[in-house]
Amino acid sequence: MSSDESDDTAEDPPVEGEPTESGESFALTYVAPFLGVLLIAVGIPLAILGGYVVVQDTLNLCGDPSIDVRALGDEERPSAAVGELEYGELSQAEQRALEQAIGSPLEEATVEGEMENRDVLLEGAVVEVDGERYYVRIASLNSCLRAEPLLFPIGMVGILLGIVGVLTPPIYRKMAGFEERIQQR
Amino acid sequence: MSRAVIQVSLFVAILSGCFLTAYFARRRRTDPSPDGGYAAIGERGLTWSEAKAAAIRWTTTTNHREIGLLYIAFGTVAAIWGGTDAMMIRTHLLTPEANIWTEQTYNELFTMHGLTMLIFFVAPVFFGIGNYFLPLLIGADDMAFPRLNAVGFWMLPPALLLSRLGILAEVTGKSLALVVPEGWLTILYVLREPALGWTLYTPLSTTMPDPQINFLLLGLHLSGIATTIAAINFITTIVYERTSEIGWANLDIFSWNMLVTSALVIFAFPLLGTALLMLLFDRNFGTTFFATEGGGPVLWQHLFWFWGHPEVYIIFLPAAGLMSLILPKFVGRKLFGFKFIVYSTIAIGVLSFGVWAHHMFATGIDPRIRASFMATSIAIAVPSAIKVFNWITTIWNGNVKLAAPTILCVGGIGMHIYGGITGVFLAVIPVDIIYHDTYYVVGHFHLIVMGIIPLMMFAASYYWYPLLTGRLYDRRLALFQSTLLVTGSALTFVTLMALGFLEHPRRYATYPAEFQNLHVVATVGAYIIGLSVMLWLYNMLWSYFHGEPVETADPWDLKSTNQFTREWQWFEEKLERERGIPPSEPEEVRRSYVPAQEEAPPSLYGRIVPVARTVVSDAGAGAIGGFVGTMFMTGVLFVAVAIGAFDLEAFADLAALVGLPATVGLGYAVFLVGGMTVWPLLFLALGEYLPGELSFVTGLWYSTVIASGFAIAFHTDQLGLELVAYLLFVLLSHWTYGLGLAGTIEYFGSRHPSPPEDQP
Repeated sequence: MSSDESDDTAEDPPVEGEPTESGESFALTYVAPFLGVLLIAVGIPLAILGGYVVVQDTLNLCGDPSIDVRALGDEERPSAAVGELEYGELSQAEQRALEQAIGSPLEEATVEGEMENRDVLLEGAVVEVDGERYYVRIASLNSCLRAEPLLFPIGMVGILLGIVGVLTPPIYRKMAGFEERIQQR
Repeated sequence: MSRAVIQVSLFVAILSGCFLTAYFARRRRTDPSPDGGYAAIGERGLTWSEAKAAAIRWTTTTNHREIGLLYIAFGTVAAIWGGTDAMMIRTHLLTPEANIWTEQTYNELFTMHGLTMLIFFVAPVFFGIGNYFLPLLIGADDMAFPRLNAVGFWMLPPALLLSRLGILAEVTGKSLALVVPEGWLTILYVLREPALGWTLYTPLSTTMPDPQINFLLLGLHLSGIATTIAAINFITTIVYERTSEIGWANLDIFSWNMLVTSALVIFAFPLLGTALLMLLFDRNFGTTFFATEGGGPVLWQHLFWFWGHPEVYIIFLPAAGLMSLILPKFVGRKLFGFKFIVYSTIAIGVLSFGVWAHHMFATGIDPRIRASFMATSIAIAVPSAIKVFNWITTIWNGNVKLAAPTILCVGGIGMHIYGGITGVFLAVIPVDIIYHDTYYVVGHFHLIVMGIIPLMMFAASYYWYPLLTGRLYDRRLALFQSTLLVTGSALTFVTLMALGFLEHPRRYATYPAEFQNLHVVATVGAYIIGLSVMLWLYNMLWSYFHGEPVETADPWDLKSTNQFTREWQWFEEKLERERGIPPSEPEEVRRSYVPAQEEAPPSLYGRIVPVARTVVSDAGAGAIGGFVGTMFMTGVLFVAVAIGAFDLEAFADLAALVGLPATVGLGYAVFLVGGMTVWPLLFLALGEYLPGELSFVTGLWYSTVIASGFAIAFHTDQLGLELVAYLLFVLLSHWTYGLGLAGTIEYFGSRHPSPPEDQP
């Protein structure tokens, strides 16, 4: 901060060099692109939801829950409310997933197939496998998105219109320059 | 859907977009470069040896300005990475169920978003700005330890890679799986982004099996060492490398802030490093520092927040320094209360180490300890408020220029006030207990960490762009981008505050469906932020090649207010040396801290008389105007009563409201008095801020605004079509009031005072 101070002059000089020239349209320079960005920002979620529904159904990206397991100590119990399940009560898919999870360093696996004990495992249950007790619960239901696929085209149109809005200022300046040149002829 | 692939694709797409913009901008360059030269037709590309030389130069440089640019580039890359995390979090929250990404993915996203932004984005960018400008501001040749400076920076890229190894491993695994059997790649799939929250709370962080957590801890530790090294360098540079003309009294405000920030780093980061190592040992070597039995999980929270809260100020204080440095330049006034801002900075630095337990009010620690932390947490608002009041006073009566940094500074102050005040509420234990685990906290801290910190980085990028590149950026685009950024930030984080007020729990991947609309609004706001950042990147890159070359070292007209600080003086010398541009002198120079005055101020009596005369004249015209307007309004309301759209009992309620007997006549008298006093005076006070060159137009706007209050206050029991008619008549009656009021005042000439030279 400079500490030099010189004598005062009468008035503050008017602010010069404003970025927007007085002849320019404020609406086309700022309002139109603002609405454009707003359209894009609204269009993106619409397009994502509508588009993802199609991709999800086509590529089977959902529906198989994943479980995680944790080995318990001899007397350990995650909480008093947690119930017990016999290994034999699990469906084949659940058994397969449980064994995979026990063998996995991340202690997780996906249940690919029938899930008979979904409600119990949603709350968590203790299961004994080969003499070891494990706390097993659903980590993710991997539920499917339900949305109108029509959202995708609507979102895309919004995004495209928004891009036009964002590009309005340079287009406007080009057209204004063109008109000026025509008038000067 | 694989989050890792999507995220890396997004990240690569953004970086590719940047490179393509730079490539096309370079190819299409036809105007002269800042030094006046033209690009040769058929200019050859970069050769291998040139690329090698450039790579060696940039990786071995010890020049403070080049290291500063490296820091800024690194921080920008980290911000893009952490920003894509944020966009994906907001996308996930578009729907109440976890059906775009899984719960696990959501947890990974918010863990790594927090860590990437706080550790790898904010501090590096501020250290970059500090590296580039601090030596220039204090007249130093370089940082005190140039090699150590380079070492400190080069620890950061591996730290970031270690911290985010999980996503890199996953994408590498999925890519290799196309050509290699998946069985060979197990080790890559084992590393997964940690999903435990950026606070790494124990016992979750000690028991979670994910091996990537170990690499994350190592990465964070490495970044802590880098930060400490940089802080030592800043302190030494400021203490020992200042030019002889600069003492503590005239050390610039940004350097003061960097000094205090660095001191905080020295005390806070070594502790974080220790805590991280303890956690690493608990996870891998059987120690029990944080074990539930034989250790103390809450100990981690104490250690973490003893670093974590000062860290909040480590990232806030440089932003405050930039605000204090840049704001005065665009309002034509010297920083108000410089000394007190310095004191407040030091006070914040000291107090920041005494507030950590306010993050732990919900853990059940001793109430006496909680109470003391509540007191210090409320106290820390005082120095913060001192800053805010001084910034506002700096703007007061200034010659405010409409520029991108101005918008960012004003927007930053606004959001900082909102974020700060909500923080004061959170410091109160009973309030915190209710809101601690809600979106209120998320909204509060984002209004600080997004509401002022990046805004000041953007402001700095615009302010110093001519100095950094020798060109001006697209100022229209910058204005637009700044407005978008402020709008998007306010929309997103105020909406999160609203969700918090509704007690929406935070951290969950799923939420009750009734919150969906507000989440969609917040997501749209976040996308606006994302788009504005893209526009900023475009502006920075495109203007580097196509911006108007600067013809003076004083593009912001700083000399005219004696604010041409040292870094610009350095730039002026550089321009003269390299491009032969001579120093410029402004037509007029004035002091920067008071509006210029030619004559001695008049006496108190001399000042009161004209004010009193104006008040009496305005009040008289206003009262007559109000009477005329109220009469017009009465006519319209009479019609409304006749057709049953307005109930006269509303006047009786008004009388009762002010303590009079509830009769229609008395109510109407109150209504008439109000119409002749309160509303005309408000119109006279606020009219100039309302749209419309013509008084009639202003009157219409004014009456439209106040009609909403009337509609609520005078509503009785109208429903359906009656309600529509009521609202219509309210609007019509107010328009007639506005026209009558403005017309009468205009007739008496009170709204537009005559120019000073015409006054007697």
